[in-house]
Amino acid sequence: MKTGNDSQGHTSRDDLEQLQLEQLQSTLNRAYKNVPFYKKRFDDHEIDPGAVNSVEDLKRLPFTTRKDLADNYPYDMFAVPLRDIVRISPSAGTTAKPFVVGFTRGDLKARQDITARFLSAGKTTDTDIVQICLNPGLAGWGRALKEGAEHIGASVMPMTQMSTSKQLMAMKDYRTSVLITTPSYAMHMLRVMETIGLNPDTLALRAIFTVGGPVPSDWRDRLEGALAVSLTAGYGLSDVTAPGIGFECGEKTGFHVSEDHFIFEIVDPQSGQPCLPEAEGEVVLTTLTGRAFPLIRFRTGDVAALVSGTCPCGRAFSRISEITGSTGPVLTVAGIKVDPVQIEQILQTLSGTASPRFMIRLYKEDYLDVMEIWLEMTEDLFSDEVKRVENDLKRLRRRVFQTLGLEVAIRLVERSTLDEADLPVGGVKDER
Amino acid sequence: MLRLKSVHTYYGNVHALKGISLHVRPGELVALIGANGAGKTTTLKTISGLLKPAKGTVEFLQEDIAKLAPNKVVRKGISHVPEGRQVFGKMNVSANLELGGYLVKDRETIRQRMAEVENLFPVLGQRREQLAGTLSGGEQQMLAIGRALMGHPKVLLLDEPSLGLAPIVAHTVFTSIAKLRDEGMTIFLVEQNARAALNISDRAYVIETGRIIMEGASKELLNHNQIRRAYLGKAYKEVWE
Repeated sequence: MKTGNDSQGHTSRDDLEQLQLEQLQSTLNRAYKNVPFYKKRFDDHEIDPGAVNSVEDLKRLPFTTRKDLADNYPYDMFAVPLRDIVRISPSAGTTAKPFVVGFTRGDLKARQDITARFLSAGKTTDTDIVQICLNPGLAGWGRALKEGAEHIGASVMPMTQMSTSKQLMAMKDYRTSVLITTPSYAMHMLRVMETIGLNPDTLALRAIFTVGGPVPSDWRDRLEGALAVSLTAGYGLSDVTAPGIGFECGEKTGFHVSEDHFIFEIVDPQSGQPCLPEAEGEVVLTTLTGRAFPLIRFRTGDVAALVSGTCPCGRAFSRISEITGSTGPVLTVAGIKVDPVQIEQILQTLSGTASPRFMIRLYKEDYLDVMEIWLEMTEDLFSDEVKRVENDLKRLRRRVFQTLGLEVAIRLVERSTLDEADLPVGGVKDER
Repeated sequence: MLRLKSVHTYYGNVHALKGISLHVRPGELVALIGANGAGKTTTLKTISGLLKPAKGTVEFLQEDIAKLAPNKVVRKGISHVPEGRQVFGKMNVSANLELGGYLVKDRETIRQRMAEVENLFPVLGQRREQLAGTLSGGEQQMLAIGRALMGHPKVLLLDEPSLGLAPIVAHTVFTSIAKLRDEGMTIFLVEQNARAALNISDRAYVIETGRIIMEGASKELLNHNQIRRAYLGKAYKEVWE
């Protein structure tokens, strides 16, 4: 039985730190040499990449944000010529402009190793049948997970758009042993199973891997209990990294970060200073092996804490806690990063130049994240023809789906309703 | 086994190494490739104590050897084969090899080690009595490596072993180096001939103007487009930049 990547991080911390130092220095040298954005940033801060003499010195470098990525749309963050890129992965981004992540052949191989490691940590083997159920907004992750599972040698059923009951039918009939999905969708599937009377004993399911959001402990208990499976959660950024760059081991005491591919820091979102162990702060990532798309001190917007102490599993990789929130306005809806500004821009396509007044309501329905946009009814929108209004809304919904890969509901409301909610324009009422 | 951490070395006023970090594990054959003047030889000289780093550490078996004199470094088990096949031309092959065993007092051990070297490089056995200066370039290179092996080093540092050799001769030298690694020798190889170095090594570092710009498994680097363009002569007709 082959269990994919044998390098599960069982190395000495000392060796790992040497490797990180080497990879960090060469990443900085390449970024400085090949990416004008980084060269300018370093020069502006009067930092020579050769002055980074330890992993600690990384803290002296400036941060990179999603805005930087969008400002350099499409290809200006690439550190290799376009001809070396074998895959171009668009991301909706979280600002006005999207951004594009590129991969060299080597980058895809590295990503495959990372996802295979995540799946192996939860004991996926070449005898497993793996079913991937993710929404279209996470298509890039779907591919990464498919490649990782195939690398292990498992039989993979890639992401397919079908109803939950069809997914369950496939799960039963194909004897799926490993399910990869989001925590909410796993819960939703469980709910649907109960509704249609599908007995979990008739399934071959053995393990669930979740990505794209935190797993509340009562959800984990319910899923593991009702389905007799082991649940392994992974952490990643749907817009820039592979899923499972942070992965749970059998101990399930936080995410081990694949520190041979990334350096992570936890910083105070306001001051940018490092946080003490166990204190919550923003997760900041630096890529170590990325050739095409190096990220140096990338502010993820995710809030977590460093879990101190060594893990009984023996891995050298440090752990971060479950993601407990986000800094700034960026929301995570069904695993997808959304900035309310993006919604505003889409709504503007209808209202023209005028800024639409709207709010976003997030809630859960059958465990699934639902995003509802409350849009103020204005003269422009109003028409005697109900059909015209309906068509307008349909068009908006489609735009949101095309941009974010997310199904939303749009409600037209009176000005007074928005006033009652007492939120700034584009405010978010998160009831999840 | 061998670890450099952020080493900065100056040649007079020239900042030749600008923060070099690398490591070699026991039994590994690791290559450092790069163009002329990139800092390859400077890196080797810094390890063997011929140059002192201004900053950074050179750790060998967990001990910082950056401040040690070259002869002390040799005694720790690091043998440096400099470029240009510096053999003693007026002495015969055996005498050259014996010199390499100058730390060994026991005749029997010397004889035994000579036999090992001749086993690795049979041609040296055939030319025992010949003056080193009359050997071919490839044979001189084998003699230089053989002489270093006489001290039973823990790590062998090789500086441009293929320099000035005809391709077919260079191939023989590289084959012997690979064989040496297969027998368990730890080797740090510095080479301009990137293809040959990547073909025989386990891992490699690419150095450019005193900085490491890439590192990884040699197999991966062989297929890396930037490396192919810069060092393997696989230029594209049009390079999109």
